[in-house]
Amino acid sequence: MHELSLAQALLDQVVRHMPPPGGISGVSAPGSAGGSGSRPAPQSHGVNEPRASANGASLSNDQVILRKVVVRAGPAQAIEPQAMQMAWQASIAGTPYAQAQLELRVEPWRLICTSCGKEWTSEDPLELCTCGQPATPKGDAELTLLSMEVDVPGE
Amino acid sequence: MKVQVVESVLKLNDEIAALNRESLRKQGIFCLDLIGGPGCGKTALLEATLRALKGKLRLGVLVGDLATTRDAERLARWTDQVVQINTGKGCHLDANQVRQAMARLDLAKLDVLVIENVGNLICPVGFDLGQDVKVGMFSVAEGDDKPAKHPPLVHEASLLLLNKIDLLPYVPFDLQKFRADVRTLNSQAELLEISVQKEQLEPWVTWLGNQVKREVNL
Repeated sequence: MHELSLAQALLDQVVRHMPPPGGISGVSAPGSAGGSGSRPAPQSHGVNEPRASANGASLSNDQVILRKVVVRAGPAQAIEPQAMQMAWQASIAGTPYAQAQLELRVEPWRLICTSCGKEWTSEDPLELCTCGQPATPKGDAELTLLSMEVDVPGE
Repeated sequence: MKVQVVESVLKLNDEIAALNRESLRKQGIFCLDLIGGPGCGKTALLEATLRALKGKLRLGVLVGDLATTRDAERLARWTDQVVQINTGKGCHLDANQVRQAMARLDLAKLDVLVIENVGNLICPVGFDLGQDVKVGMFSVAEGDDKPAKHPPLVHEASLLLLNKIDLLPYVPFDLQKFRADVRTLNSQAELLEISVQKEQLEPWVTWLGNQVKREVNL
């Protein structure tokens, strides 16, 4: 169940990229030297207390609401989508991001026939080519946060 | 409002892994992440390797388990450069755990660092620890279908070990099928067939010596 580690790392990352109220872009906390097993408590961007903006002005308590995070998983990343959804729900429960939906895009393997060179995609890396020969599976093990959808007051 | 990010979810882990890698390379240490299921013979392999190469190659081991220090105690008979990492309920090691454990080793005393990951064919695969290579380990007793059932490990490994080949006459195991699945999933990785129990370790020891550019004989 490494999906829980991944979900917690994802939540850390989402928190760092949350825009402040007013939609000031490019504001993110510096990365800490903690691994996936040493997650700091999620920050509450614009939810519980006023924060200072980049220019020092006080911001309101208006909520920035995280609606969705979009994540891409390469086929060699050993991730189980249903377990990842459960882990995400467990990670965001009780946080200001508890309503955020996770859109997980698991890429299929790209297969190249070793005999005729045909290329196609499949979830099964051992799938044979239509010519009956095995194929070479290509794919990465990356897990990438692509984007977030947020509602920002005043936007 | 859409916020574009495009950043690895494991960015923090990867940054610490890069620090680990830098520390190890500065010392000229070759590091491998040994990944295999419970009971495939990971610790036994390391015991036999430490015993066989004592005085020839300086190995240190970080050994991950959910609980107990039993593996570290087994390995400590052959080296004082061994650290047990207990993960509690964690099913894999991460780079930060490795970094903390590395601080308890005398890196100047090592040629090779083996990170024996938690017994698991799935979860450890996606976590960079700072290793040079990932080594996937299977055994005949587990069945010939394990590579096909665990493509990410086979695909990401630079070396694959098949242990307990002395059991081939006694258990149903299609060696040709196993080899074919490994070749299909990863034509680049070397596949070495060994028996720790029978001390048939030559291919593994030769491979290890090649990684540190040194001829190592049993």
